[in-house]
Order: sequence, then structure tokens, then C-alpha cells
Amino acid sequence: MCSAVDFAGLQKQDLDHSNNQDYAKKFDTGLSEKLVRSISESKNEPSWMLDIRLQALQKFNELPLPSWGPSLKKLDFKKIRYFAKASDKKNSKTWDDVDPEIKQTFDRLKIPQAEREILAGVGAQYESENIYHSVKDVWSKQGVIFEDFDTAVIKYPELVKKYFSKCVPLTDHKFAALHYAVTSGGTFLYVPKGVKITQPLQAYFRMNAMNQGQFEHTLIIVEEDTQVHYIEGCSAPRYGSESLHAGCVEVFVKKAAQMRYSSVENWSKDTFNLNTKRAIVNDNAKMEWIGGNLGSGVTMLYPSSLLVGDNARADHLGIAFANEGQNQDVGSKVMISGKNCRTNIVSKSLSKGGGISTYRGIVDVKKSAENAVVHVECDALLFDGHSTADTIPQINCENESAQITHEASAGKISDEVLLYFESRGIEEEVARGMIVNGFLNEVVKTLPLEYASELNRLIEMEMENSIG
Amino acid sequence: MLKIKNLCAQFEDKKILKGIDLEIKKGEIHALLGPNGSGKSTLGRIILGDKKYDVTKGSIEFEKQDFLKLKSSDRAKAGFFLSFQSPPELDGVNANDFLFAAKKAGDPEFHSSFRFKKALSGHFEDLHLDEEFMNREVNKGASGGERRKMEIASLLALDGKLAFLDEIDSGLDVDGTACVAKAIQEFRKDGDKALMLISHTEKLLNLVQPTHFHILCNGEIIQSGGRELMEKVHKCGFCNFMNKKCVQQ
Repeated sequence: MCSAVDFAGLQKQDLDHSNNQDYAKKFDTGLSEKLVRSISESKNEPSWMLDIRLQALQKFNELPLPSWGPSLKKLDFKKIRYFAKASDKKNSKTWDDVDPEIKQTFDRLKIPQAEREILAGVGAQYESENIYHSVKDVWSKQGVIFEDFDTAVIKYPELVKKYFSKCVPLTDHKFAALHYAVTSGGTFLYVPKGVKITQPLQAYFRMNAMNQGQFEHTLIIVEEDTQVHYIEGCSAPRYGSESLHAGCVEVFVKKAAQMRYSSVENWSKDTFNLNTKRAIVNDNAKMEWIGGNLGSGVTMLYPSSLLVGDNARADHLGIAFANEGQNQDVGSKVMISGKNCRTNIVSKSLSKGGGISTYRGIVDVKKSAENAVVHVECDALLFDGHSTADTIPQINCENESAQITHEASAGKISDEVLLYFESRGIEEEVARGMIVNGFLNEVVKTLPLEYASELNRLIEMEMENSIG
Repeated sequence: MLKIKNLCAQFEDKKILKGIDLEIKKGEIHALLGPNGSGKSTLGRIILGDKKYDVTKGSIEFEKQDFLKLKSSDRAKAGFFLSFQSPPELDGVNANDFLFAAKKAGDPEFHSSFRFKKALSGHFEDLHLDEEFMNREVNKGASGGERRKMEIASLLALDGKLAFLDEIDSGLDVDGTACVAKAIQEFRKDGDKALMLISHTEKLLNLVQPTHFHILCNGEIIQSGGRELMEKVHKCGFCNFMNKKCVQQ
């Protein structure tokens, strides 16, 4: 296959390059009611939005930090800048209107090029706001709405109000509450009944300044008989000082719709990525969560599917790479209440240089869930003796008709396998790369070619100097 | 092509090779006979550079290069090909990608994937392997026979100089053995290659007709010679051989 979008050619400096951040000085760090009100005001939001924000702020102050999982001690809420805009130009419809320095960042990440060649639409967020958002005419003519979230609140208030915070309530946990208090930017996607979008839509989230926080909200409603593939990418330069990402994704998958949500997460190693993603899946519908988590110092991310309809299905395929100093605490949550539902969870983790990766998952089969079929597979590959891989699967079953299988494996790359590669002339470093690609293949192959090669490239960068 | 002098090696504290001398020249076919556990496979793995074993004395020279100074992948690139007795399963790596990577490792200029694929499918066809085999994960769930054939297909695709084939005929039926023998003839047709075979069955050795035979016992080559050695072994067994009774008869 020949495509000009060459994510495989990405270099470290493309991801690590930081732009001017003088604008950040205009925005204070720390969280207050004043800040929450000013964010709402700057967006000219309706009062119901402000009410949600204020309730959420109160909830955030009340709720404790999670009592389980990785330590969040290093996260200093006072040091984080919860809102910043780098440019007054918002939501340009053409890249020529975007601030040149910001455009250059996205050019390096090859986003405009991917848009021209393989995507149905792109949203690009820089710090707290979208600087670009566009969908090809062919889809907007069919009633597809793909907008910056802030714009959608103003342009489609009834639609947003009907769904916003109905999948992930603001009381869910401390970081969901924080998210709703200071949310800014993100994507609103509405796909009307029967529309099958043949090319993926992409959102790319970029943090630039030091100690930045990003709290974008993604709200997706796919009506009956639709088909959509949404891709999310993210990255940030590294400063050696903590930044925070607490986004929230809500997906409503209506009857017989097929929704695929793919993400390649590559935040810098100073980032706390405490993200919440959840889908409500109705009759005969299918939700797929595909995720590659490579970046961040601490990740806590457990995409969830609520299979409330009959014959609903959820596939969760995830990759986590924990390198030196990283703690990847990831997993899946699936709740089944409909009849004849299926779920397939595959988690692949890599740990290297002392990194910690944990699969933490819950499958909850409710009493009403007749004939549920559940398969959970967790595989871990360790590169050395001082890295860690844990598996904490929890399965609750209230209905005896369920078929539940769970497989887990953990191991190091065997010397015999390495020698076999070498016996054919393949160098150890190349061999390790091929073994890792092979290990991840089941998940990577579900991505479009260009994004599969991007993920492979990012893994390759993590693998550099892996011998020693 | 290969010159081994006084090679001594051990695994942990156990001495496995106790002073091996061996020379293999272009065009020759050697057969290594000996009871189980005598060190035949280990010899192959030490020539490849398996780090499990410590070479305590002696030298290995291959095409005028000091092999003991090279890492395993460079020994393979120099033209030494070892077939594994139990080739491992490679999860998620298909035969086509694996052999393509191997070919590219040996020749950085190499990139004609189409021609390579065509040649490879020719080899698979000769070995009576399904074309779909190329897209299967290497050795994954493969039978003993399929694994041997994959080793031979690799040998043909990579075109080494010296092939050390460790029980390449075990687990093969009569047709399979004939196929492998034919592939070996194909490999050495230009006369500039050499072979070392380890085999417990006469069938393959009859088909390939080695020029030199060695008996390896307890880490030492106790006798070298021509075809008559094999006949004696098959008549009297290794035990008698070791007691030298057979030789006296």
C-alpha cells in the first residue's frame, strides 16, 4: 500500500519540540471558583453549564483521592494551570488561518496531511482550546455534526444538554468532578441515523506549556444504524514538572450502530493522565475501544462499556508500554445488563527499565444479563528483571447462564527465541523489535495502516537502547 | 571453510566438549554420529555462539574469521547456518516477514520483496508446504515435519555457505525425507557449499551421501572416516564402538 502520510517517519523532536509559552503567563495556576466562573464566562456559556461546573467544583473538593492504584502524591493541584489559550484564533476552518507556529506543530505531527488523505474530519486542540475544527462537506451535508465542544454548547444547546454528563456523572470520582469544573475544548460528534462514515475522524490534543492541564470533553452520539471510526491522538513536550490531563469521553451508541474509538496516547513522561472514557451501548450495537498508552508518568485509564441493550457487544483492545519511571495502570470496565451480550477484552502490556504496568479490570454481569459471553485476555511482556507487570482482573457474575473465560500470561523474551532470530542473521535489537511487534500485532492490526505504523514508530522509539 | 581446533566448552561446571578438532572444506558433506547426549547438538550451538556455553579453550575459524570474536548474528551473516532441533514458536511474526528480515540483515541493499516472495513460494512448493504457510506465524502450532521444512526453506532462502543440519529428518515421513534430501542437493548444486549433518537414520544419509563421517562420544571425536564408519555403527551400535570391539572385528 502506498500512502504519503508517513507517521512512521516521526522523530522524537517532532513530539518533544516546544513552542513559545509566553501566553501562559497571562493565566494563573491553581483552582478557584473565580477561575471556574471566568472559564464559563469567556465561553459565553448558558447558565446550566455554569451550574454543572460549580456543582462539580464542590464535588471535587469533597471527594477523596482514589485509595487504590498508583501514587498521586506528586500531583500538586496548586501548581497546575487549568486554563490557557495560546491564540485568540479559535476553531479555524482552514489551516492557513491557524497561528503559524501552532500550525507548524501540527505539520510536524502530520495532522493536516493525514486529513487531506485519509480522514473525514479533524479537530486540533492546543492547550485549552481547539485551534482548528473541520469536517469534509460530504459528511456535513448528510447531517453529521463534528464541532469543537465549546462551539457545540452554543450552537446545539438542546442536543448537548440532553447527553452531557449523562454517561459519566460528575460524581463519578474526584477527577471526573475536576474535569466538569474546568472542562474546555474537546469534540462534539453527532451522526444521524443510517449514516456510515467511511473514513475515520480524528481529534489531536496537544499540550505545550509547562504545568499545563487539559480537560477536554468528548461527546459522541451515534444514532441507529450508523458506522463511525474516531481516532484520538495526543502528545506534549517534556519539562520535568508535572502536567495533568483529565479528559472525559462520553459515547452513546444507539441501536445497531457500530462505533470504534481508537487512541494513541503519547503524553510526555511528566503528565498525569487520569482520563475517563465510557460508552452506553444499546440493542445490537457494537462498541470498540482500541488504545495504545505509551506516554505519561502515571496513567489511570479504564475505558468502560455499559451493555444495556440486548445483543450488544464491546471489544476492548489495549496496549500499555511502561518504560523507566512510568506507571501504566490501565484496564477495562464492562457492565452487562442486556441479554445475549458479548465482550472481548485483550490487554497487552510491556514493561521495561523498571516501569510498572498493571491491568486492572472489572466485568460485571448483572442478573438480567442472560447468556453473556465474556472473554478476558491479559498478556505481559517484561524486558528485564526489575520491571513489573500486574494483573488485577475482577469478574462479578450474577447470572449463571454466562460463559466467562479468562487467560493471562506473563514472561520475558526467551534467550532461545533471540538466538533463533540471530541464527538467521537478525541482530538482537531488531529481533526484540520484531518480537514486540508480534506480541502487539493482535491489537495494532485493528488500526488503519497509517496509525498502526505511527504506533509501531512510537514503540520503536521506546525500544531504543533496549540492550544493555 | 570451517576449522575447529582443540575446542573445549562447558555448561556451568559440566565439561561438554573436550578438545574437538574438525575441518570442513568447500563441497564436502560431513555426518556427525554419536549416542544421545554426546555433544553433537551442542557443537552446532557453540559454533553459532550460544551464550549458555562457555568456550574454555581452542578456536573456531570460519572463512578466515575468528568466530569466537563474533556475535551470533554476525556468524550467521558470515554464512554459517544452523537448523534448530526444536525451533521455537515466534508469536505474531509470520514466515514471510521473518525471512525477509533475515535476508535484509545479510544484505542491506536487498529490497525486492516481490522477487523474494516468488522465490520463497517456490521453495515452499518444492517442500510441499502450502502457500498460506508464508503468512502463518513461524512454527506456531506447526507439526515436527512442518518445523523441519521451515528450517530447510530458511536455508534455501538465506543461501548460507555451511549448513549444520541437526536431525533435520526427525519427524519426517518417507516423502518428507526425500523432499528434504532434494532440497539439500539444490542447496549444494554449485559445489561451493558444505554441510554437516546430524542424523540417527540411514535414510537421509543414503540419499545425501556424506563424504566424511565422525563419531562423537562423550565430547570427543573418537573416530573419523568414510562410509564404512556408518555401516559399522549400524551393525554394532555405539556401545560396542566405544568399547572398540566393533573396530577389532
